[in-house]
Amino acid sequence: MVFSSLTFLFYFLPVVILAYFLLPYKNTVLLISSLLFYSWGEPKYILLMLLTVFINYICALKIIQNREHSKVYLVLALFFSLGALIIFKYADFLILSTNNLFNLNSSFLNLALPIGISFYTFQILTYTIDVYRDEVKVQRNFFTLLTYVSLFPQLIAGPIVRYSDVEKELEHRHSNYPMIFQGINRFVIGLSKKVIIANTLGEITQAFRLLEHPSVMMHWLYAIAFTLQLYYDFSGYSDMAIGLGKIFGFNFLENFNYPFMATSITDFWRRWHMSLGSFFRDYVYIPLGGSRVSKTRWIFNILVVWSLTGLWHGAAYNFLLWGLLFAILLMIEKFIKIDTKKHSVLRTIYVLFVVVLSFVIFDASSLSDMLNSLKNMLFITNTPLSDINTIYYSSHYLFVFIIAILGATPYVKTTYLKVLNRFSKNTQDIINFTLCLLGFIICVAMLVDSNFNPFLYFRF
Amino acid sequence: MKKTLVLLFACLWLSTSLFVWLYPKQESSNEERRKLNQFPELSLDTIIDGTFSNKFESYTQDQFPYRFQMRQAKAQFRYYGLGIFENNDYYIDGQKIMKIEYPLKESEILKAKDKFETIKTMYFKDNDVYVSIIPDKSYYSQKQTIPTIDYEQMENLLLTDSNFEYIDIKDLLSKNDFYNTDIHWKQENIETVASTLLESMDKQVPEYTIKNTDTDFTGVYYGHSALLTSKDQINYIDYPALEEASVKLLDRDGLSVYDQQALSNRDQYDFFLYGPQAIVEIENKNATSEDEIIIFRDSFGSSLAPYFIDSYQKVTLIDIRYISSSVLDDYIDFNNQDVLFIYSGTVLNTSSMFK
Repeated sequence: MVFSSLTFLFYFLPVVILAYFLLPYKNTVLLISSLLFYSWGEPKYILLMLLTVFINYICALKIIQNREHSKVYLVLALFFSLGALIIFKYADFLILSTNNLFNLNSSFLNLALPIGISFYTFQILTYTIDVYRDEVKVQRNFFTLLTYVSLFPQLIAGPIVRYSDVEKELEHRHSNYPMIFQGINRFVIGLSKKVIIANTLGEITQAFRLLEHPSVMMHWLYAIAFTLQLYYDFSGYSDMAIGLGKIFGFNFLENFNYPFMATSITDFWRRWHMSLGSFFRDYVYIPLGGSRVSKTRWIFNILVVWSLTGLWHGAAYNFLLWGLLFAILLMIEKFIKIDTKKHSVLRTIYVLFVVVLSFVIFDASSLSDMLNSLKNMLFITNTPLSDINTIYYSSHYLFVFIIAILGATPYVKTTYLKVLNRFSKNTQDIINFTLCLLGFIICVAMLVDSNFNPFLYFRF
Repeated sequence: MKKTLVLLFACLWLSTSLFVWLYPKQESSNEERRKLNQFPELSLDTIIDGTFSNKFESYTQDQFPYRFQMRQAKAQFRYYGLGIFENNDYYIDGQKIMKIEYPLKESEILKAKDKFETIKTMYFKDNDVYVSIIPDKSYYSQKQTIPTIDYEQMENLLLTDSNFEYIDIKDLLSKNDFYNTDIHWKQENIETVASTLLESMDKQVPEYTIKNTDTDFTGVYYGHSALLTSKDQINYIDYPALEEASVKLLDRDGLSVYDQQALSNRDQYDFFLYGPQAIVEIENKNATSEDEIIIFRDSFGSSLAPYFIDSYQKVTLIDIRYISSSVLDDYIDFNNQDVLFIYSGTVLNTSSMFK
């Protein structure tokens, strides 16, 4: 089940909301509904998630009870959690790599990827590791811990919510009308980003994939469309998660901060999928020594973190290359020591150029496909500059591109707030409500007539 | 104020949800011309293997209340809100709903050519065989940025190294000769096409009058596109020989040329010679000649054939999407008939469906 579906909007969520606000056992309602939500799309692998949480729960208790051997239990939790992730997500990639390296012919396991495994694995590990580090109190109630991990607003596509961020709210939280109002607004904004903009841009990327010989400009059109689609898809989903969280009394951290306004790759990764970046920083990079080590060791740390970041997104070489590309650029930026006060426009253009090319690598179905796309984009082939498809998509989707590009900057929001501030608070609320309702109706109309509605980060 | 608005939103949303659950379920959609997904089978097996959840979303889409009106709202928003005038591969040019037909599938055209040659070899070794292609409506669109099938290339592929006599009718049509809401041409607007085809076979179009069925017609593009445009009316040609002609289908005979019953059905275009039929034989004892013609055709042929009835004692329409070409001689006595293959570009572009 995805948030942008009629099943979720008119069948699942109304029942959950009613039960949550009418019944006294709020965590129980959330837990049952979250497990139902997960098993709706993944009935077989719910047991894997339950087992992962249970093992971490036991290990965390043992860590507290037995400080002398706490490391053993931490390693056990890591071993099981990451082991499950590696088997289900990376086994066939490892078999393929081994086959290629040693000229073998081992057969693949062909295991289906459990939905959300990358997210909930990292999430439960933040808990266990933070317990080990004595940064959070151990959760003695298994069901409360399970509620935290399985919480449906962020279970299958993030943001990666750390236990420390919601520890207090799990036990003591309240919803009030201003929070719920904010939550509804945020949810509908996210839904609109996903359904109206991301799905529409996705028509271009889908059309591109069906073309046999796209022109150079069509490659660029696809690359920009895909970059924007990914942003609106993922940030839209994060907005919905944050909005739902607010309705239930949780305050999830932001996951995106206008990444296309970045003036360096370093800055970009402080704005894009921030929960993943901070996870790798706090649980991999800093434990490896961070930047407080020799230059060689620092380079090693960066390469490890970004290889893992790339591979987290997918078990294929193009994801690894994608991660390593950013590793190299981050290192170059660090060595060059760019003056962040100068040439911000040029630097933003450089970032956008790199990011767009990087997402072509990210989306490639194979290394040869990736090379072919990049060669075409960089004019290294005899491919025609333009064709009828390019003219069609660039002219007919022009307004969508404009909306998407403007919406990816803070100027739309700041302008809107400036205009809104001219009115009284009550009028502001009415305007927000009206726009929210209109957005919701438009999204529903688009979902009724939609055969194309993927969540791109769903596959992680 | 926030409390009021939250409660208002909740009431609207919850009551809409209740309405969605309780709204009577529909078996089929007239506009989309298909059966609608029903509540999926609920069992332990279908829950565990995910079949139920997969089908449930399709069910919620199909059974959403006022589904067609919601689809129209989406199409209007795409046009006025996002500036995209295409919806589900359909667009409007003037009042005409058009479909984007692109690209040309060369392998499909070659398959069609092979099929025609096989049929010619089997049944019409010594006959003159005529071929004509009906361009799809979007070929005549004035919107220059829409990709269309390359009909010149289609003709090249079909005719190179073949024995067919080609009758080019591309320039005899314009977008106004097609219905607003349907893929098909209007029967009353294709006299020049019929005349050109008949003259190739030394025949002529008869004198006729145009009559109106007095029925609003919304064609297949209307439902699929959900775009707003004015409805059509079905007009038809009439002359004395048509009224005396007798139509025979595979399962019944003694019928008239036009099926009045179809005007109250979902596919009103079936008014013309009973819609999708494998074989239709029309006999006219008062024809201007004793000649016979066999027309291999798709649905466009149904509205074209009435122009031929005056000139031929027997007009046989064959649709090789519904009957294998290898068994035709079980049904038809092949002798010295005129032979015409006339298909729309859309059908030729998916000729894998020829049997």
